[in-house]
Amino acid sequence: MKNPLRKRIGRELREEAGKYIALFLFLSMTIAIVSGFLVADDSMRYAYKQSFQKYNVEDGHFVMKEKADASLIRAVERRGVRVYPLYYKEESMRSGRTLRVFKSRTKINGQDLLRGRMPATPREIALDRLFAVNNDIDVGDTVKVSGHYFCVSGYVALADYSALFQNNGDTMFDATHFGVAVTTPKGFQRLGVSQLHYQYAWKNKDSSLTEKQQNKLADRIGRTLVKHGDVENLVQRGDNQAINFTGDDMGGDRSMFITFLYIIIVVMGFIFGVTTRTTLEREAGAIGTLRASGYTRGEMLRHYLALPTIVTLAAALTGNLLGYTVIKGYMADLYYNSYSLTSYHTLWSGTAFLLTTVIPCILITIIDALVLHWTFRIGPLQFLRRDLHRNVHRDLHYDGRRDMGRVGPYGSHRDPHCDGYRDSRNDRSLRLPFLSRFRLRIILQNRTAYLIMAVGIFFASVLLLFGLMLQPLISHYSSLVDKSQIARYQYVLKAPVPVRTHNAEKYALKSLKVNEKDEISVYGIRYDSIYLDLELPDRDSEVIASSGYMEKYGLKVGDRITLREKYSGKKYSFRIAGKYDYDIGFALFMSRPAFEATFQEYGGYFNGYFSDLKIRDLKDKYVSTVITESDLKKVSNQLEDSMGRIFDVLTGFSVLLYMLIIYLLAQLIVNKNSDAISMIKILGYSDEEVAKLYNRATGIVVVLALVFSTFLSTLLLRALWKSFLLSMTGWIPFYIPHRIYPEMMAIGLAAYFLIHKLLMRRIRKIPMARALKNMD
Amino acid sequence: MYLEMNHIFKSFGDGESRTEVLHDITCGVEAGDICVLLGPSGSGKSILLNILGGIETVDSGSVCIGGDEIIGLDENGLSRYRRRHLGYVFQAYNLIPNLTVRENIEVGAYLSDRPLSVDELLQVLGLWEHRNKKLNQLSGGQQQRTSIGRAVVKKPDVLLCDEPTGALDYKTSREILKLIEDVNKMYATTVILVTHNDALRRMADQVLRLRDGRIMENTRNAAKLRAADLEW
Repeated sequence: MKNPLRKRIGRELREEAGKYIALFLFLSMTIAIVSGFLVADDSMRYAYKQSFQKYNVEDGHFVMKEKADASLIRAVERRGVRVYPLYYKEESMRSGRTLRVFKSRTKINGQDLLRGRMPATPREIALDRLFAVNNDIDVGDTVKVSGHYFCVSGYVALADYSALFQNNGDTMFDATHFGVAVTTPKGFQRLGVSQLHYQYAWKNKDSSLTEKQQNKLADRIGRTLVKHGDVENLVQRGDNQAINFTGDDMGGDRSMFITFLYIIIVVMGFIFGVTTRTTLEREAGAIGTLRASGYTRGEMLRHYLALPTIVTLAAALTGNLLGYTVIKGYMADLYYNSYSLTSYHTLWSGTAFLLTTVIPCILITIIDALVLHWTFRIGPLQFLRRDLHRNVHRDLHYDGRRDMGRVGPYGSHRDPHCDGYRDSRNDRSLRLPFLSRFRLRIILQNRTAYLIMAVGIFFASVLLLFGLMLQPLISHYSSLVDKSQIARYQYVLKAPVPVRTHNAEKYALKSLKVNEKDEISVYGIRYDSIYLDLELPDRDSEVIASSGYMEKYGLKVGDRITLREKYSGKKYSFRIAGKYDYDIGFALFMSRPAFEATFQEYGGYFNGYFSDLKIRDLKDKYVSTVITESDLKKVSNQLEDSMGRIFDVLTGFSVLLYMLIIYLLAQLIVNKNSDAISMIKILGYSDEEVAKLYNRATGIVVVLALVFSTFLSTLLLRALWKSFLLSMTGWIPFYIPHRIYPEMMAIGLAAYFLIHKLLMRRIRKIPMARALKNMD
Repeated sequence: MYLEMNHIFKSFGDGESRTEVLHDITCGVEAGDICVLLGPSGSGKSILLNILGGIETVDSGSVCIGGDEIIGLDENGLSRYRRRHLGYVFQAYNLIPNLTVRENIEVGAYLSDRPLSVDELLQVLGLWEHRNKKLNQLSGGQQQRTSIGRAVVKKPDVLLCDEPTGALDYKTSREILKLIEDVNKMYATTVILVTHNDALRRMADQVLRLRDGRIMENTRNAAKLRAADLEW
């Protein structure tokens, strides 16, 4: 015979549909988001890795000033590589956009057609998808490239430009202002020759070379090129940001999504636990009778564990299904919004299934089983007395004559508001007005549910604050760029060449490693610099440090720091003599003589210029990098472009989480007290007055939880932000504008008031007959 | 004696606050008898019933049912004992709210390898017409019948009833008592019935009266009445 109790499961599900639907939807939505992300992430990472082979991605490339002749190509190929010409023309478009145009690729660095078709006529061009989308250029549109009109035949992704870095030395790519495109050979000819760049890609003949061997090979190629011609640039694949940046960045958000999932799962586990415990309290008499009739603790535990487990499992499977179908595309778009990726196929991800289905189910089941195990530790007698607290003899001692199973003062329940054994406490609380006392009692009696509500509100606040703070944080970072820029133009030179531009100020620069992640720029500047207002220390071993560097590593004036050279590993030790207000960069400043002494450079050494004007008498070949405001803002622009949608998703998700937690736990408290509510209605209290007692008690907890959560979530996010950035390169200062806090409170309270309306309906529905019926 | 209690002591609390609720209880009940346990509130009758039911511990003493000692059994042993030998009926019916009458009785039947026919029992209980109803569609008497059905369906050796008529009106109380009597006769079930209604002693084979945790009376009833003839 099957256990007839199983029929209770389906009916409980129907009777408590609102609660279980809310839990199911929220859980499945959370799992769908994370599962979708993990599936997209796994599939795209696989596609990205596969693209190297599929599209025959180069092992390196070099750019020559002149077209390389056959003897040079042969000389390079003798080093063990095969060379492919990959010329491009860098053309200007409207509003300062730059387009790098290639001929359609066939042999190396292939392109993936994502939409439309490949160019077939000289007047057609296929644009990089991300660049086109960022600039609102659709397939079929006409674009003007350096005065020539082209019809956009399609969107492509070039395998060697998954991140649209214009120059390999750029701090960040900018997929709005720089793009790549392919056209037909005749179309390529239509463009002028003035912007023609002689780029050649190479592919190693031996594909099994180690990284070290590849570095050596690149060095040998470089030496060969220098011997035979004028090399403008040489980048091997391992150093090519346009190829590698995407791969390095992919998967970086995994831990964030998984952490987010498990926070929600733990909160959900406790919500399930509290709701199950409430069911046990409601059915305590029946449970006690069944236990007294011979049902074992294990049988009861398994029975009451079944429904939460079924709901969790169903939510996890549904979430996964949604993740694989609907959400995956949305999550893939997060990558497609940032990177020019080739197309991908969805892969079955065992890891995603384990992380988003198996582990959450186990976690929730364990939490619920622990709550049930704890509750079922008590004997049948306590269930019969409807006293689910552990200390059985406390009540017996107070009222040893109380017979089990008797009808209590409020129907079949013990009077929840008349715990006589706390008389002295009651006497003290008599100083409070009656309604306050009543609410206080409700809060204390439901402290577990309210505690979980507060914890849930805290986690929702963390998510909400994160969602609300990101946009202002990026804007703040952007504003710091304006404030922190040393000069409008900062030139880094390949060779020290003089210029005549007014106010161009020489400086010396050396890059040292702080650790494996971060590098820092050590500047040697003039004592009377017009660009940096600094009191430079006289000692060689003393430096002024940028505020960003000091903040990230928790340094203060007087501390000693040790840095090392990138390749030689030579160490340098400095004492921080002062702080310079430069939040976005890692920099140390010393006088030029001190710089020369420290790094053993000759007197008068320099390798860069600060300038307010563009230096026009400086030939490109002597310039390694020019850093302008737009370069510095690339980081914030890119963050904004790629993460813009996440801000809204996080905010929306947090509001839902607020509402769900408040709804589930507040309605649980109303349900639990239905008999008492029914009774006080009989006494003459109106629905509104009942709501003032029960809902306002919830309101008080919500407001307190919101206030504390706002404070605590700020502390938590500050700590998380710091630890997150410590694992990343660079520094973005933590920033939350004050206006965010009232916004958070308003959102939290709005969620509460909405739920309050729903609960009012529930209170209205509780009939007065309920208490009377239960007294029969 | 089928059911034997020897020198049972039970108290709550420690030191000065210690309260003795049962003092040296020694008595027995014959198989198939109806034993009415009488006494005022706080006399210890329900605690004694719970000790028999294996859901309350003793300080000392022994309880044997059919020759088997139950004091000292572990949690699983007690569960098996209750499962095999006992049926419980309380004043509060303690039924499972989202199951029907029939399903509530089936919950009891599940505990036995050789349960009574649920359909036949529904007829005996007078619940056949109500078998598919939910509890909120039933009167108090019907709910108590259901709880008796749940206790009886597994053919327990002993039916423990704690104030089964305490929440019912006179007429319904008599019907319930008659039902308990029928169960006793039909299935030879030993019935221990806790009540503070003195009139019920007349339907008992044996009367145990407790006061302040001590047995004040342990008599057999020579002029037993049928439950239907009881008046109070």
